[in-house]
Amino acid sequence: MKCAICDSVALSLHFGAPSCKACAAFFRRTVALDITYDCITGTLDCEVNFERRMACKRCRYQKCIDNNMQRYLVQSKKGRPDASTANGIENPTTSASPSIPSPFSPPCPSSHNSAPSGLLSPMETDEIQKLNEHFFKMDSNLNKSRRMAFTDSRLLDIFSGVCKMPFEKHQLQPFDFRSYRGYQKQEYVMLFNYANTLPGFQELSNASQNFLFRIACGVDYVISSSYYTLCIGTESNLLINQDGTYIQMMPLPLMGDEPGTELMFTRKEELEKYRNIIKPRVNSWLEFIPLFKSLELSFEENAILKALCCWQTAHFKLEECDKENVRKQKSLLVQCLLKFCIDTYGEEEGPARAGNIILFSSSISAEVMELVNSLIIMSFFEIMECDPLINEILSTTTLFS
Amino acid sequence: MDYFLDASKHIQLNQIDEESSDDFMDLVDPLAEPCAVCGDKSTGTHYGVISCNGCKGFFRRTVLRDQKFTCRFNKRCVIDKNFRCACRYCRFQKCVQVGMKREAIQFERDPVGSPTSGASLNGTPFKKDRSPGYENGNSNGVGSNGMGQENMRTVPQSSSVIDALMEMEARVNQEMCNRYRRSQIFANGSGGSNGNDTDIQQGSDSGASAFAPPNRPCTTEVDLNEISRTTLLLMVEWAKTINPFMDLSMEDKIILLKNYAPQHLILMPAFRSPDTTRVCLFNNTYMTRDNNTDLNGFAAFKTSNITPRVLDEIVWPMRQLQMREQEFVCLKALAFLHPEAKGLSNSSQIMIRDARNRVLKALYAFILDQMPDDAPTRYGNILLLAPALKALTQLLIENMTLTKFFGLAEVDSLLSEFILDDINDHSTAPVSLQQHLSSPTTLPTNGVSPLNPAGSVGSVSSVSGITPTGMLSATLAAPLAIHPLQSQDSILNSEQNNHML
Repeated sequence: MKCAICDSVALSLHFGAPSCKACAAFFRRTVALDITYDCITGTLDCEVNFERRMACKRCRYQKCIDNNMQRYLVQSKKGRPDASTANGIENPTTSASPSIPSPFSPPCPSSHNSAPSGLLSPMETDEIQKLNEHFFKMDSNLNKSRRMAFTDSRLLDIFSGVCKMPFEKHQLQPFDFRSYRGYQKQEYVMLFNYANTLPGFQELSNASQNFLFRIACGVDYVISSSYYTLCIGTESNLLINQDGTYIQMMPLPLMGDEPGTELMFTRKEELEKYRNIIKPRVNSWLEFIPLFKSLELSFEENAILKALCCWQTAHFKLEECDKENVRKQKSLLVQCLLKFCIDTYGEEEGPARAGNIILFSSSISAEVMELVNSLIIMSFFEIMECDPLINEILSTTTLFS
Repeated sequence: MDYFLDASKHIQLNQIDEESSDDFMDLVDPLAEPCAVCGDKSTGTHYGVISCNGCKGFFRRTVLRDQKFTCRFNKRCVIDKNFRCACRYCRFQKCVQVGMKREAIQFERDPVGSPTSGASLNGTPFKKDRSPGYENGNSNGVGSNGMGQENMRTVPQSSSVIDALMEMEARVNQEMCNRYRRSQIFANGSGGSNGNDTDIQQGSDSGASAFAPPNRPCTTEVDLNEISRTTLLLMVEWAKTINPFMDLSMEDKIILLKNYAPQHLILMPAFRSPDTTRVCLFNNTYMTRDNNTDLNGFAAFKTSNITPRVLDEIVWPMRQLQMREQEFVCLKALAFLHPEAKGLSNSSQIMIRDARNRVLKALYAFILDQMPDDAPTRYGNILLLAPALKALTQLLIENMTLTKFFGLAEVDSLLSEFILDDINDHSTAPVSLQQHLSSPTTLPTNGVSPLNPAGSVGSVSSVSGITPTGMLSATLAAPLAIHPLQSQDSILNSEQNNHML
């Protein structure tokens, strides 16, 4: 039997249609939580298959309905933990029944939050696993885009397998602050694709999408640069930027504040540009990257942490109507991280590992804020000739009040 | 087994018990008749009716748990193989209707959710084999701080970590209540107003709200100032009990304290105060400031941006999760044990990280024990409070910096030392100067003030603190904590007020 929605393996009927566990869970979640979706392309005709079923929730849900899934067959939320979907597989006689969960506590009313609802219930294991794989794929695709844009790798190499590190050591280029103009336009396209596939992003209002995209640029800059440096840079004392350029850190480059530094530059503006670009990188090398290194993040942990930091850093500035979505996404992400850490490190060490990674996100948010402040200074005083898009991104990105 | 003779149309002479009959029929004579309830493939006669395993289990669970269902439709739902799970009311009614009998269930066999076997974890995403029996942690009596530390070192069990934290939390709260009781006595003596009964659980809130109406301008400032000073000084005492704080060098101690102090000032009111009290406290305070001068209006405006965020990002999740005190003390310890604080030495980072891992494991074990189904979600959501708290700290520091820089309000010197001197962190000399500057403030007060019976306990605690670590700046601050309300101290601080809390 094939899933009527995504064509993967279906073992039985769910809600009236042959479907796999993932599509059944998706349908149940949509109905039980009363979610409505918008089509990502607007055509209401997106392709839904095993590879693409997470792309457009609206078309996936519509396909569920078209294949005769019935909303009234979904149990009400109240009795959900006891419910079991219609299952043709015979249960063994000796199987243990699901435990009685603690009753769902009503939300505490608050004058500062309109219609708050409870935090998301735990998800099924396979759904979390698929969500994890989605995050890994997002980061891998971003790395592949960078490899395509900044190296001369062959197409065959770009499309093979998971890309955990876009650059090899011999492909790095020295960083030239004189010609540096900040993010190039193609990098914004890469990050737009990244943000667009972030689960929950499509449900945000336009203003919140705008802001979250800007935060994603900053978070990715900090995390990707630190991760690439961690992979191939620390042994040679190289700080690697997200575009494949490196800065030699041994000996430490001048900060721009030392006496006599102005003699090395022909123009005062050049000195100012150097100071605003290099000084934060040196501080990052001395303070932040050692902390990042001490965690020894794997590629998978790094992918989940990046998504978590995007939501975490942007939380307080998003629209009020989107706060609920943010809480849901953050809750999902910590479940994904916890599951991955328990699978990797075991029941004893896994929760502590996940906890350390979650707590580390506050350091990343602080680093992102320092980066944004530095860019605002350069943009405001016109020290650096930037792509016009970066000025637009930095405007109204006041992280304080 | 007489019920088989009565209920079944076909007498099975070979049946001995239900389990045996299942094996017999499956192997030799699988029944062709469908389930009488839903029409699915049957597995034999269960509770007097030919039925499938699904309906059999459903009937047994319903009876054993004595569950009641309600039909969302008209009590005429179709029960068949595909839709039998849609309405449990109609399914159960059909079970009874086709002849399933309650008395046929053997209650002594295969119980559902037996307490001896523990709650089943089938429904949770993460399966875990837990050790049998409840882990009995060693509970600390009214012991010394050293005893607590020894216990944490020698027996690193999960529950002992939380018990030690809870012990110190209770002690700090007790000390807070004691000081506020003396605060009211002092205020009554000077103001001549009648005292109010102190609720031991909400001493600080009662003290703040009780004094505001009768004598708003003078008492409120003194009271808020005392709240701030007392909170910070008790925080230092609390920090001394956290292993491995006392093993760190002086510089690392100061770095940890300065990193944690603003978070402490946000966490304590957020957990202790309900939303309305919190709002009342802030509005009451700043309303007073607005009435006094226009300059303070700017400060109130600047500070007002932090209150909604505290309520939205800290207080709301705490209420939503119905956070327990055990979880709260773990969150405090995790915020304090911050190995990423700038300037920490490598050896200190390793020690702090180990301590943090112990707290993380203890917190997860506690949540898993209390509510195993929601453990992953709850654990993650509690930890997410820490990054939000850190972000709010930056805002708090910026507000206080602006307030002090423009002279909008007088900032308490102790508060300034704990929170604002990050600017001078680039060199150790200014920090040392700050340490020395705090000493002269302590000595005259200590010399002038006589010891009182309530203070003697604190004095003993301070003495025990001094002995193992020698002369420490943090320890010198402790004697000051003994006499926060003496007249000399009051005169020195009369010009100061703190509107930040």
